Amino acid sequence: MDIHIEFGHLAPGDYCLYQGKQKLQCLTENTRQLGTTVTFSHNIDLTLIDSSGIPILTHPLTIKVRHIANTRRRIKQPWSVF
Amino acid sequence: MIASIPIGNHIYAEEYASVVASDEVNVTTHEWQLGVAMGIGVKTNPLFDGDNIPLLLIPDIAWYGEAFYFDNGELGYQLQLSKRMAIEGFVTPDTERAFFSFRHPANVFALPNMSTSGLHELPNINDDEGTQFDVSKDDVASRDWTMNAGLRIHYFLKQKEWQIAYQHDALSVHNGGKFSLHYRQHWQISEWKLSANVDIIWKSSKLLDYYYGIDERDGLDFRYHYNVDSGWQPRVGITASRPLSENWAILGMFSYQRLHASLSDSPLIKDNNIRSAFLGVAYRF
Repeated sequence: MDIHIEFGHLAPGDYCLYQGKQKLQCLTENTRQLGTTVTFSHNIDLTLIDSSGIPILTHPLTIKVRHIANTRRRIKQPWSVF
Repeated sequence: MIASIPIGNHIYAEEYASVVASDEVNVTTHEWQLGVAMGIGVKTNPLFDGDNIPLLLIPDIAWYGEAFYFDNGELGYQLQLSKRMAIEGFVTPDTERAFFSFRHPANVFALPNMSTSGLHELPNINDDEGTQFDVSKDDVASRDWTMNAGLRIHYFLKQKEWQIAYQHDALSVHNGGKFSLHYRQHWQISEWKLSANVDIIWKSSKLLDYYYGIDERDGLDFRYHYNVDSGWQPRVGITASRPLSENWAILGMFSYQRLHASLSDSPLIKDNNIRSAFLGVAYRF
């Protein structure tokens, strides 16, 4: 999912956006918006962390719809030719 | 999809993701599942003069319909008995033949060990102590490949699976069969997907004697003749993968299978186990 985030009232400083424990992008002093792509298969949190490692903002991304009607459980273990 | 997320003292998302379930356990029906793993690995060959099988490229090819499926060489038809149970009939290549030749379908993507000179010594009978008769796989008659037909029953819980299966030689090559009990557990730890399995496989004497026994067809001295009894062979394995991107993932696999005494005592067999290990990256098309 592509997301675009604008930050309105951040104190001066450097910040980075994390998806769980994975760093997505960082903001500079002059930039208060970012766009990135997040991929997830279960509910996750987006967290903005400042330069001292303190979480400033957190927001959950929740899966509302999951298309499972046309999937089925695989019978053999993947990569099992040998 | 673009989600615009204004930020103030809090953030909020205007849209939610719609994610198609896609992992190593579930597959999308009516679509080919194609992948190739590249790396370094080996499957040991328990036969005397049998080259270990290098695992450099491992394909993963599957197609699932509503009931029919093809999965890495196995063709079958599965009936869902309940939410937790399923049964299928299937035909699949018998992989015992793979140890005798690199032409077996199981070895299409493996490269032969280049250290083999192509020459082999004649059988050496050493019965001074009445113990060891070693026979090279190159000194016995050719074994044919065959296809097995069988039935398999599954019982599923969310991250667990039990299987019971029997398969039998469908081409009357050896008229033997094998019965197996299988348990698999899946875990997701952070980004890592892990699965471990414990199997126990019973193989009939007809199957084992055809491939690993020695008799008149091999044209060897009668002192080499050996009949393999049926037996149970335990096997454990573990697979780990971690996605690197939408298409790429790290892949590691290890398995260990113990051969029962009557088989490992065969003059054709030098090891009492079969080990398989692989570490590399996998690409899904």
